[in-house]
Amino acid sequence: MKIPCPLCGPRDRREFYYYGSPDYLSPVAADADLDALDNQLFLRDNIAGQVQDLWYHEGGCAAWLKVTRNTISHAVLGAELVMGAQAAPKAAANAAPNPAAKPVSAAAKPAVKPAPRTVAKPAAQPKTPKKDA
Amino acid sequence: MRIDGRGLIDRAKPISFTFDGKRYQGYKGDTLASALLANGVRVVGRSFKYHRPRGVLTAGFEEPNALVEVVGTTNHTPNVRATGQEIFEGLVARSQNRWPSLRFDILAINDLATPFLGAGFYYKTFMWPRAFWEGLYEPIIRRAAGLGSLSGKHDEGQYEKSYAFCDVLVIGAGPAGIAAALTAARAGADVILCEEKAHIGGRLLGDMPQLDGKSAADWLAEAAAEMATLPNLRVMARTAVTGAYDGGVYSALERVGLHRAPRADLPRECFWRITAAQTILAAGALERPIAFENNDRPGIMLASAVQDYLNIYGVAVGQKVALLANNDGARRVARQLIQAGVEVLGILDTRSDASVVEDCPVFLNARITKTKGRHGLRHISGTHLNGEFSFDCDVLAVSGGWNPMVHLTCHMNGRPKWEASLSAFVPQADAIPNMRAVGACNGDFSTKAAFTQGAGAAAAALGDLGHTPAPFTAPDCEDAPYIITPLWAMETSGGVYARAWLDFANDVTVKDVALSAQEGFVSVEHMKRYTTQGMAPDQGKNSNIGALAVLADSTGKGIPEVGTTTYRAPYAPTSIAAMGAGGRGMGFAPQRFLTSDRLSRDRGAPMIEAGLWYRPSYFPKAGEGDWQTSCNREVGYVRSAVGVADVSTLGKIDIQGKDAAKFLDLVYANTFSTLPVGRVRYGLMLRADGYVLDDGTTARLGENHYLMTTTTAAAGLVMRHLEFVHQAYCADFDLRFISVTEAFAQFAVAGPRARVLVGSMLAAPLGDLPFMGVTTAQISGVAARVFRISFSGEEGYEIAVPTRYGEALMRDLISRAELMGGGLYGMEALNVLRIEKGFITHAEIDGRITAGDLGLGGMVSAKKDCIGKRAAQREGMVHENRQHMVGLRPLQGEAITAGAHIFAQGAALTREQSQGYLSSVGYSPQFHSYLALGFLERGRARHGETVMVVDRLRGINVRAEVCDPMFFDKSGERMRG
Repeated sequence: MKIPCPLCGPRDRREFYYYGSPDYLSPVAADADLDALDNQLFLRDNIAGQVQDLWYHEGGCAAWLKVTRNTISHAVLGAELVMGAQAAPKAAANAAPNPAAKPVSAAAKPAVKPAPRTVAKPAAQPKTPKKDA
Repeated sequence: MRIDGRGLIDRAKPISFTFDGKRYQGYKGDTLASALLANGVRVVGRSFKYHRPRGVLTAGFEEPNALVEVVGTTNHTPNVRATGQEIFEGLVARSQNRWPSLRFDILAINDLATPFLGAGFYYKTFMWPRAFWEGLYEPIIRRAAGLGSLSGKHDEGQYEKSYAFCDVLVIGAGPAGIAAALTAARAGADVILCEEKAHIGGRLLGDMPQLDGKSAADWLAEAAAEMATLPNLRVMARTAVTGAYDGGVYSALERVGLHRAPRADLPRECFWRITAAQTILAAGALERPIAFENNDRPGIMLASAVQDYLNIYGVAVGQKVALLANNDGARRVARQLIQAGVEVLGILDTRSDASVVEDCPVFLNARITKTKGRHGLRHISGTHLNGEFSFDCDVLAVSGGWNPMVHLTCHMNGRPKWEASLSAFVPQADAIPNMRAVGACNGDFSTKAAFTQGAGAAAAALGDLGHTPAPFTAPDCEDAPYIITPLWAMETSGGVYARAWLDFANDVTVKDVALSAQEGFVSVEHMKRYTTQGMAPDQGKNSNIGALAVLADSTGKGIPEVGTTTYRAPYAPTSIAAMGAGGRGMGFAPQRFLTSDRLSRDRGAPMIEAGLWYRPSYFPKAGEGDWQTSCNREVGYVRSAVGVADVSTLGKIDIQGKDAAKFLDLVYANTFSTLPVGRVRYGLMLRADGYVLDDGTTARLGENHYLMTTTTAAAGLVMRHLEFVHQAYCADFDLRFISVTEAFAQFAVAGPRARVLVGSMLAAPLGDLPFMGVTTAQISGVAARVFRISFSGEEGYEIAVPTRYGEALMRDLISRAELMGGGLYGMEALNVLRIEKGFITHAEIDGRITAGDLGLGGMVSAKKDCIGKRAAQREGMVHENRQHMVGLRPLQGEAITAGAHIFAQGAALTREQSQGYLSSVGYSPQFHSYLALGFLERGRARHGETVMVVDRLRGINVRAEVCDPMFFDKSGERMRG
């Protein structure tokens, strides 16, 4: 599996550390009530299909990425930088509960366009393969 | 026997090899199978269950019978297909699954017990008496099960793994693959052509058709010559593509050295990961047998194999050959045999409506009812349209039709589709993204179709890549239709099918499959597991389709309704050593060495692994009987004189920026923005769920400049955490940080004489560096940082210099320390020193511990927020019954162990009664006792209480006193001095 790091280009997934849900991007508010806290920390949707998750480019540029991929077809649809895509939230100190921050724009512009290999075009998106019942 | 004037072997290079202890001769280019056949060896193995004598069935890697052991200098490899193993001078091979010899195998007695050993017999037997399970049945079954043997030694062979990238991957170098590769390469695309066999050509080599009026060999030579001139085309022979994975990634196994005499620098195999933008599958098709009574006698072979041995290896596999076929293809084999001077007794055509015009007798509607020759076919007889036949023959060449090699197309959960006109499964289009199947593996069996489809698919692939295709003209060649009347099994005498073999490798008969259906295992998946059909090393390559056809008959369903089982990677058996090449022993993980590593090892220090680092455990002196003595001495250095230790492994992170202080206040539970410049503070970091993540000291080097330390093992974890907090929550901060763990070598100097030692090294006097302070200094002209911090509880300093000066500084420190009555101390002593002072490590911070548990609840600042603060306030996290960190001291000073549990005196020693556990233990020379840190329910309220410390694994049950984890010098005056 390759993850398209906006800074480094498509890299093997083993360069990345998988963290989990983009829910982590919303810091827990200082005065969050218990249910909200519990949901924030532990409650996750388990989606078969298109998901987003957080990956850290540990073996590369150390950028945190939000990756969009499909857990059924295994297609990796894109990745954007966490930093820069976030409307800069204040540190949670003494702030009102932060609404789940959704990134407003598409992928941040990469600083350097990765040099393409002889592969001229990206692979066509795969169709969902036939599933057994 | 060998036939002159035929074959691609090199008769100028004879090779001698050994099989079952006997020497034989073959030629370069022979496989073990072809050389043995040339030498008239008919029996090459014994079948798995019944130990029936078996001969070579095929000429390829799908061989189920001729599995041998190859005994080499570094490796002893079982289950090698003799049909794929090229001979080299000195090759030593042995047949398998027989004792004492191939000719006379005692376990052939199983063949007599057939009625009791049918499919699934082990589900119905070995039940009574129970006492026999472990004593008798298990040892017998273990010895009987399995195929081949292992040497019991480590695999010392050399292996490699590698990566390749290309625009177009072509799998299979038969006519379709060659056409595809040339088309793509001529257009300038980056092409890799993989071929499992040693030579390109595929079916062209065995079939030898005329191409453009030339012999196939000549045409191939020209194609190979052109391919050699194309720098963008890599031809990888002896390379089987074994799996199709996401993202256009394919695994492949290249036999680098298996066909040559072993050499120290010659890798046996290379495991490849090939990433291709477009793929063309030209994997061809495999011929399949027909089941009839005793169809497994040595000498009964696939017709295409007989052809391969004749045309590729120059071997006539027999002197009197008969053929059995349900399709037209086998006719060509008969003609070629006749041309080569082999006596062909007749063609047994199972169809009623085929042509009888041949240079040998043709029998229509033929059925074989009887064969003779247990150690080699002698005779066959049966019926045909006009009566009966009876031959004395030594070879029967069988063709039951062809199975396209669809395997790779099914590796992503796809299934092939049944094509009734071919009586075969063919690939579903688009089963694998960007893969196109062509030629025989796509169900088109003519030579012309192979060329045109290969070229056509390559042109389409080039179009997808944005290249302009170059023309490829298919040579003039045959384009005959494939005419087959399916026949899977012939009735045996008595209609019993008990000895009509489907899966030769696992000894599964037609009767077994029918039995499976009868017993209710009607799904093809159940039939497979119940009968074990298709589960042998060949993975059913010869038997899958026949078996499911029999199952379809038995269940009254059509073949498409029965369906196939799941095709899984790897397509070919792959040695784990190849997949893990380079990962054995020290290659398993990177190793990290301190600048003091060399000098530690020179002093005989046993090195322990701390993550990927090696750290010295203790430094033995001559005359010291055991490690404990050395450890006690080193503890004494630090408590009474001065000790020196390398502490470079702790994570060090340099943090700068106007918002650095604000950032630290967010990630630490306590406050760092108030830390004065030139001071160091102990910090506690929490996780988002409120548990302690790490502890460490952070120094303020300047208004906007901090240096954080982390524990050795958590350095990467903390760095990742800081990056996340920064990028996710603090993107707008003026903040930069970087790991400098490897940039600085850092050494602890601790003890009552530490100040004197450190002072003696500095260019300027140390002055009054306060406890928990930091300053810069010059040491022999090298810029250094000196921290006054202590992990030992004595007055202590840590000196940091750029790494390249580490060893020199360390040597200097050691010689000074030794002059002052002190010296080096290692990890054991370091651990004792810190336990005596109740200082924690990740033995205590194990992910289940809160700040409150550690007695550090007060460190969580009330005046500011921090990561994890809210979660740390949850009721369960602050509950009074939580386990608090305490010290424990056995009443008699006895040995106790980390991991021991703590019980109230008199309590039952059950899980529910455990009130805590020991996290760290060390022997304290000053207390003449073992001391422990641990966690105990409501521990802080129970100082002075006597409890039980119990370790059932090590037989420890002692009474201990609960006390303050700081065992002495509670005010810390020795540190603060």
